[in-house]
Amino acid sequence: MRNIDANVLFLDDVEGAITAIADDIDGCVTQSVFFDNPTQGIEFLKENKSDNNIVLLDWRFSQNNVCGDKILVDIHNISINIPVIIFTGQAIDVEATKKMFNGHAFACLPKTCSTEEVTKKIEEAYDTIISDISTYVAQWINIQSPERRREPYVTSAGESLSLNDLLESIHNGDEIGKEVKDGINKLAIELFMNK
Amino acid sequence: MPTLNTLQIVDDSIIGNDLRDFFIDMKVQADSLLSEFSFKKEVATSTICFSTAESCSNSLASYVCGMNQAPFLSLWFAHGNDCELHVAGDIVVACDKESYLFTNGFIYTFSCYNAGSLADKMLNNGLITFIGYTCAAHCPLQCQDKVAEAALSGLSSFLGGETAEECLGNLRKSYQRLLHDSTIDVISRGYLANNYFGLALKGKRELTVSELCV
Repeated sequence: MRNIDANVLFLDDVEGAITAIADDIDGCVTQSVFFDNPTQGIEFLKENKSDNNIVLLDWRFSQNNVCGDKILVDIHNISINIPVIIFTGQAIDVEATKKMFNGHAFACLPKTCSTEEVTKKIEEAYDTIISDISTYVAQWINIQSPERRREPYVTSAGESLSLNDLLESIHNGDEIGKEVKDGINKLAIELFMNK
Repeated sequence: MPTLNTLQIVDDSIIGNDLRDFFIDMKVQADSLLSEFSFKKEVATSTICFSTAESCSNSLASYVCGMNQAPFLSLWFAHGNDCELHVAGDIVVACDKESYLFTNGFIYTFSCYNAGSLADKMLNNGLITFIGYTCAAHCPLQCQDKVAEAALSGLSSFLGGETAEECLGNLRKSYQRLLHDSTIDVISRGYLANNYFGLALKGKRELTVSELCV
């Protein structure tokens, strides 16, 4: 597996199920972290929102009777830019599939799949992160001083927005965040076409 | 001596108006361009400003009445949306309010979205030409002065004798210069790219300032 600048989180109630994968990716990712309690995993993501994160999520926790769809929504609410790979040991029906992809799951894998298949999906998820301009906008905002991030930065449609507001919107994927991405794409077009 | 009549609509309200200083600066620079035009072209200029104080006690109609019997210039530095223009949070022009007042006018704006339905409605009511934005007109605060200068560059070329179409071309070039200005950070330039791609000219493209002088 190639080196990946991202945290990989395993949200699963059975650690043994992912041991082989964790061993395989160890040393190639920023850190791999296991959580058998989804709440702690969600807290980790909130605290490390400025990092690149990839989540491997057990669709159905057998002990706590927690379903993946709820966790998927919680992750999406933290940032739309966190790819979630779903693991399932069960046959997936149409309803579950709908919940997964309405919840913006990145991919779905059977628990019986090989470690190569999993690492390949992790690499694909990482490629998605690094090819998204919002990753770099967020990184740039994160390296600005706290003062600069707080002060008014732009006025848009009668509203004054700080860099912190823009960062929040980029994570939320709302209209303001889309406008930032859209503007940078248009800038790129202009720079390409009129060098 | 011919006269250029101008109606400025400027939102200089204090409450909830983060662009107040920017709008005032635009007005000051526009006044300077009009003075320069008057001096160079030997044309008298008569300017009425409708801002917060006026909007509190008067309707726009009482200001425009008399002016719109002949061609005139109107400059808008205020907040807007697809169908409305606001001063001090109140609607002063809308698709269904006062849009008929701009018969015989050439409107040049820095306001959000007004080049959409509102411009179309006014053109149906006899407006000659409209130049403005179909998008939100953003102002990155890092380069506020440069944005004001670019946003008024079209007016400058129009007063210099160029057609409305050439005026839009000049406006585009000014924004392009900002997009290539590496002293401005990328996110700010992204916002300016939205402005640039949202510029619009509607109505008579070959209009010149001499047609507005009466």
